[in-house]
Amino acid sequence: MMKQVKFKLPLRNLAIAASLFLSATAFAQSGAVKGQVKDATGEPIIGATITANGKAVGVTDFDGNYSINVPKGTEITITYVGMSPKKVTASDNLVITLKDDNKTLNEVVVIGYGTAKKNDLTGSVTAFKPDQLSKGITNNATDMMVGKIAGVDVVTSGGTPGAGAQIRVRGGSSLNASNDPLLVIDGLTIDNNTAKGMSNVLAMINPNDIESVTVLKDASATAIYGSRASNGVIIITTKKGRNGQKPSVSYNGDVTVSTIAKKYNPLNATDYRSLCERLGLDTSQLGNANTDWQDQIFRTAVSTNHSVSVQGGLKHMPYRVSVGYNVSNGTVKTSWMNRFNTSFNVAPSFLDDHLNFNITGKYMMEKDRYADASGAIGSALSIDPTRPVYVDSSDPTYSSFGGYYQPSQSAPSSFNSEWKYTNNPNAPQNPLALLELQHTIAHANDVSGNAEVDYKIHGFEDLHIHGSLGAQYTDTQQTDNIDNHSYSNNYYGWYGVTRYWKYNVVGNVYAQYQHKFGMNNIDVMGGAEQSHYHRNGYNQGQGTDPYTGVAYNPAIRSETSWATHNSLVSYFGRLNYTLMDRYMLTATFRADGSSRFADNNKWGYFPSAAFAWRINHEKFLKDVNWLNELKLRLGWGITGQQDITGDFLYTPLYTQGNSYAMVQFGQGANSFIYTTRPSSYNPNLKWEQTTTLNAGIDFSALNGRLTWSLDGYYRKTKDLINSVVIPVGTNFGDVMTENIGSLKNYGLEFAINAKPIVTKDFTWDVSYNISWNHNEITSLTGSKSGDNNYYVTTGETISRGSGTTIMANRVGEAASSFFVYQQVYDKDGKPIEGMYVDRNGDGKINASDRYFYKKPAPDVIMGFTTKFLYKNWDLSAAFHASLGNYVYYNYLSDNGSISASGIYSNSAFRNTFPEAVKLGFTGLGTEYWLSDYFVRNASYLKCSNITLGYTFPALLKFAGKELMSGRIFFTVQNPFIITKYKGLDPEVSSGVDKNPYPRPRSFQIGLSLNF
Amino acid sequence: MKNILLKTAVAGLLTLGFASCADELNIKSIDPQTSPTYDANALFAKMYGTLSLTGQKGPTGSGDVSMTEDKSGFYRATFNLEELPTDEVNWAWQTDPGIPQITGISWNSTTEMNQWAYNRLGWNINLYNFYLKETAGTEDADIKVRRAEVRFLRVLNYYYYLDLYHKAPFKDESVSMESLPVEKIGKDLYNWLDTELTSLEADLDPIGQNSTTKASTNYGRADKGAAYMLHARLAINSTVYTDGAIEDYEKAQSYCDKVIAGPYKLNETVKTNSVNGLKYSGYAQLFMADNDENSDAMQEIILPIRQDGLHTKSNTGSNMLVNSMRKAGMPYVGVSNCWSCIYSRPELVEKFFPKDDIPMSTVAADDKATEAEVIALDAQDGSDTKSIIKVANDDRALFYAGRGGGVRKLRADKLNNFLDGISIVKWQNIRTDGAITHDKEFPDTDIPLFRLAEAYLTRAEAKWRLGKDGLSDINAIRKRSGADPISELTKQALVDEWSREFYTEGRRRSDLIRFGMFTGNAYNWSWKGGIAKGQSVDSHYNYYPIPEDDINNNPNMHQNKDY
Repeated sequence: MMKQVKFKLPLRNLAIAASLFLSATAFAQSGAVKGQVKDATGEPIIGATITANGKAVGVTDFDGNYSINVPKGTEITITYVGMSPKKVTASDNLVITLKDDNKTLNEVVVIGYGTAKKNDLTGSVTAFKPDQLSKGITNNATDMMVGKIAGVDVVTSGGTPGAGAQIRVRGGSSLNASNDPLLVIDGLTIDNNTAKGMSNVLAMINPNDIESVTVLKDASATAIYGSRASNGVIIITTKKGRNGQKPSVSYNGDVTVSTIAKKYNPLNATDYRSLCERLGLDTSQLGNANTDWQDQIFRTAVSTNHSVSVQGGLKHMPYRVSVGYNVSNGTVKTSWMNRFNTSFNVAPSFLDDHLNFNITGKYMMEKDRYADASGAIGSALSIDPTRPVYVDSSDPTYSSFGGYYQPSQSAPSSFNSEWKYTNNPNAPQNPLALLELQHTIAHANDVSGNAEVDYKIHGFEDLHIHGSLGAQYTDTQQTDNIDNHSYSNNYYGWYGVTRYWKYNVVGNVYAQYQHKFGMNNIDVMGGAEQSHYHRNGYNQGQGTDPYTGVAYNPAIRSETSWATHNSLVSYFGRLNYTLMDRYMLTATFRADGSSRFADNNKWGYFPSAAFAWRINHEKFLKDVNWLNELKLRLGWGITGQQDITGDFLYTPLYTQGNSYAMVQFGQGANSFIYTTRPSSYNPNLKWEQTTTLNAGIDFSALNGRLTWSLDGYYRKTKDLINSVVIPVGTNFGDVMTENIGSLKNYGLEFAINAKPIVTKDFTWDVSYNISWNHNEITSLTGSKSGDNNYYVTTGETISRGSGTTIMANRVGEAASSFFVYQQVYDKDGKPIEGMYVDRNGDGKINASDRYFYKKPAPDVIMGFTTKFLYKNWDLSAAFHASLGNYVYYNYLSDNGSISASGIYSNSAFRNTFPEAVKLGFTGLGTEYWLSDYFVRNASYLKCSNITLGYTFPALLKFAGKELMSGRIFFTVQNPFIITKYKGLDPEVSSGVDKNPYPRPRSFQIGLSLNF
Repeated sequence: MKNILLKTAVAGLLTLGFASCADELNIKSIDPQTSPTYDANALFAKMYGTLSLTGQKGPTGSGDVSMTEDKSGFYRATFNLEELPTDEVNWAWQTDPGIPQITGISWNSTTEMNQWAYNRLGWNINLYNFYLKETAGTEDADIKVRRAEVRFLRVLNYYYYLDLYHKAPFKDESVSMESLPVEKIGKDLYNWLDTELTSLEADLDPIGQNSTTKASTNYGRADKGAAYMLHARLAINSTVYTDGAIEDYEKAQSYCDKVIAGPYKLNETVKTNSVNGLKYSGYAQLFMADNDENSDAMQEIILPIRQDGLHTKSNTGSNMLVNSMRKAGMPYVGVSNCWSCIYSRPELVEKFFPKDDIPMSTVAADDKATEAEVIALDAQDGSDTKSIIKVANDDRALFYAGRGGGVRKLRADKLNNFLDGISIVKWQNIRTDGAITHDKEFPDTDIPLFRLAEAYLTRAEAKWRLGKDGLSDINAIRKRSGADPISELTKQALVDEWSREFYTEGRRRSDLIRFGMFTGNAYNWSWKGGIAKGQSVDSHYNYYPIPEDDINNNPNMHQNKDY
């Protein structure tokens, strides 16, 4: 229940906050008309607003009393959120009873292919409105979701300006296929592939335009989306105007100052020198400077964000137009993003509301400069701290680096003889030079629109037909201009262009019939949909000999261009049946045909059924007035996943070789022959299928002052798609995408929202959600019968080793568990390098001694928001926590070679840090990095933001009208983290902590104005 | 009105769905880089590309296998396993994964370098099987020859399985692509290779037709000569491969007889490079950038792996051979990207300088010294390659011990620096004719996979094993390099001559095993077993282990003993 009404409370608070201000003036006046406002149960209503002649004149106090200064006989209106407004004629000592408007419960929620009243929902659906008071710094749609929804784990992807987030609804249901939820924006399903040169797939939407976010979690809600619904569905709806609404203008603006929250601590020059001495290295080759390289690449960045919207209604045509401009500067030098968003919405209705249109359009233009943050951070941590940032470039050994320090070696004879030196490729690169000599600029344009038409049949209004046609088009261009004094492209430089286009078109039609036959309420919907997704691009570029102008290693468009597409054809239907307003049954069915599979596997069928029981409508509870809702929900359904790594993995294809990969027979110009290679393919590839069972209880009481809901679920995914190492010699690859097994997730979610204190001047509002998820692989088909040791390696590579992964999947373990050796420790508790426990006791340490130890996914996630409202002031704080998530401490393992050759090899010094020195591994002769010692508990509690706001009434009066009300606020984002993890940030979605772009600590001042 | 609208709506729904599903769900790939069909010539070229390339983009970017593309190429993966554990070379970067295990002979079933070779061979064989299945039943004469070549390549890859693993995950084109390979061990695999080679030899082009004639449009393709040489190589190792069950030395000798009787010739012509003024011996020319244009060198090469700096780029073939053995600052470097990885173990140098008296520079060149200055200083020290050859009295002593890149040691008490041994300059990206090479970074140098000297030395060894006199064969190749003839053919003389003639040509481990000197105590070279003075290693290291992944994936495969 709480899920459904949660967003209501902030509004209520706003109303209270706003009206409290007004009350201050009201109380001061004499000769007032007094009265009291109560609810249906006789409880006084605090904070109800009284207006006269369209102007607020007072609010009720703690006892529900009001005192207003209007002449008797004036018509006054009493309003309160969640209650029906009431008009009365002012007279003394009126007792006014407001009735529950049931709007909260009857609030319309957008679900797949239609809308439903909240009260009628049978599935696990969370509708969520951006919390205006504690939203934190919101540059993207995903930012506002962090920690706010039970069962939804949102991990922002770091500090890259404009970057997106990883969203997981109830843990991942897939291994290799996408675990991202399906995104539907204003009725249009979005292609989840982020275009190169665009920072975020949701960049097209200005967060200030978002009206509501609906998360469909269980299969009874998502199955209507069939083959794409296994990981949940997120439906985002933007704001609209209202019929007959006067034009209103609002402005939101903010300025943000971002700094890095924490730095790594590599050795400083003095400590590094003494380490080198201790290891017997020739320290005369060190420099004399003491450079903190991290200070060279990080900065304090200022960003700003402005958006203006106009909304209103021209008779029967509501409209809304918005524009937004966002300048984000990253905390890593040189990185920035500028984004311009605009959107419009018109919803005209004709024929006496029988024919309704809803047309939305969005356009986004983005320009970025990307920085190789990970590379720069990696270099800053490993480059010799005894060297300066800049050197005298008249020194010939540094002449090739544009004034930056860089270890050099003599240039190859192929370079012009004036270019005497080049970089030593074994030495770390100057991180500032990396940032400044590499200009990667991206431009992106994204336009999307959706037109919906709904026709209620004249004379048969129970039936309406709905059609929609939407499209999205994105084009991006990224230019990489790498200076010829750079480390990566010394001498030749590089200038290249990458283009990327994508579009998708989605059309659907459905008919819906709703009718009430006595106690029976029936709602039937059926329709069809077709979608097509297309992507293509190329890259082109070359290095250039600076003396001769001859191209070097050109990338040729004809050899790099690519294109792909896929289609879905779907039929779907839904039946809602309600008996006596108490027993509700929902059944849905969808058939999806996908172009991604061979003929015999193209079609998938996805049914669901759910039942809900409104217990509070039963006779025995009917008279319990404080209880607003008590509902039991049970659901079952099957959903699918077809977002696999390629569009034509089921069919044999031959890949043409390029002109650098030719085979020569004989001599001369025509002796080179292009090659072709069959790619691996799997004709048996089919959908992943997830079966979900869900049970939930919704509870709401005391006019919504206390709401909670509890959900339990069990999900089993079969035919898991994964890229697996196949037996040698069985296909045209050593790995192949296969349906390899099954896994299950089960868990509990609980969310509660309460207002423990509500007084005239002070309100305290808390919301909290907690979810626990258990993930376990239940079968892997590639294993030999009865072989419990069969595993499939997976996950991001670690820095040591060569393409080494540290995670694997095995039956009985959580997906992507760490697969490591068990470290042996000496009597002082210090790990002994390369010494592992002989777990199978065969007297040898080999691969069969590796074991499964922990996993990156959390067991428990929590979100907590607390808000205090005092008069016009609001103070809120939001927290999120994650428990039981583990991270591979790659920074330590990467720097763990404390030996003469680990610190100095091939004329190149490499820095390390105190923890690695203390650990004292030499890095010689062992694969020490496969130890469980590096797998660390990364549980954390983070404060997402703290916000202090002041809401002010009209600043201007003009012609008797009050104009420009608004709010000013101050936010601190990411103020603190509580964790035992020693790395920069325990929030690592991949489980391998590899020099990520650090999430900044930011301070924001913002202003909202309404005209 | 109502009915019309309803009907229209329903009809609309149905047509939208049904009309489109036929078209929309059967869409085909639109990627310009791929095609649902293949060009027969391109597919055939790919068969040889399995030896020279690692994928469809040169040098990297569209790898055949998902493993580290650079290192999992056919030549590099097998070279690593055949050379790095032996008395010839070391790999400086001991922190690279698997390197300590490979160079110190302590690998196990998860050592990645081992997996690279195993998977690459299997991938290649699967592709050959596909080609043979696609072209089965042909009557076309050209395609019959091509089929025989592909069968030859398949034998070559199985040969490496036999040599490295003593067994293979085996299948041929008669079974489906998806079917699991079966385990074929030792003698069974040997017999299959022997029979298959005999059978395919008949269909190949005549001996020497593809390689000795400069006009040949097929230079780089196997002819009968390549098959005979591989057959001889198989036979000389018969005792090892069949656990003593078969001794095919007569066969080895007879195949060498056929090769030596063919149109090949040891290259003895000395040539002077007009640009750098250096004289290159016939032996040195075999490993130079124009070894596919220099007809004297070509006469000795039976089958090369073709390489080209412009059009055949990979990090697996001669790019690895040339770059890995060079450090910036060395003179006559010939390439732009020196990896400074592979250097000699002292035992290799001792094959030419038994008294450890190789001339060496003892001071490093100044960091800012030009190439000309380094060359002059080296000449003054007598540590340049020319001087070393002269002192060794053997054209094959292609070492560098000068000042360029730093001061070298003959042997070192640690193992992590390119300068811990003498540099090897046998492989080079410089042309005998002084012309510029096609690319700065990627060499043009072909890799002679089979060359005539092998036939002489194999025959010498076969005769020795059969109790006959093989002295003239061994002296034939010594004479070509200006070395004094030897007077007695002993086991030690043979083992050493194999190294002198074929060092860094990817076969040392097999040769040592054949003489019982790889594992055990018979011969402990520097860093054998991971310690500076060398130590015995267990005999199970004679074979590499089956990678853990394939043990995991293929129930037909069983792990080699003691892994």
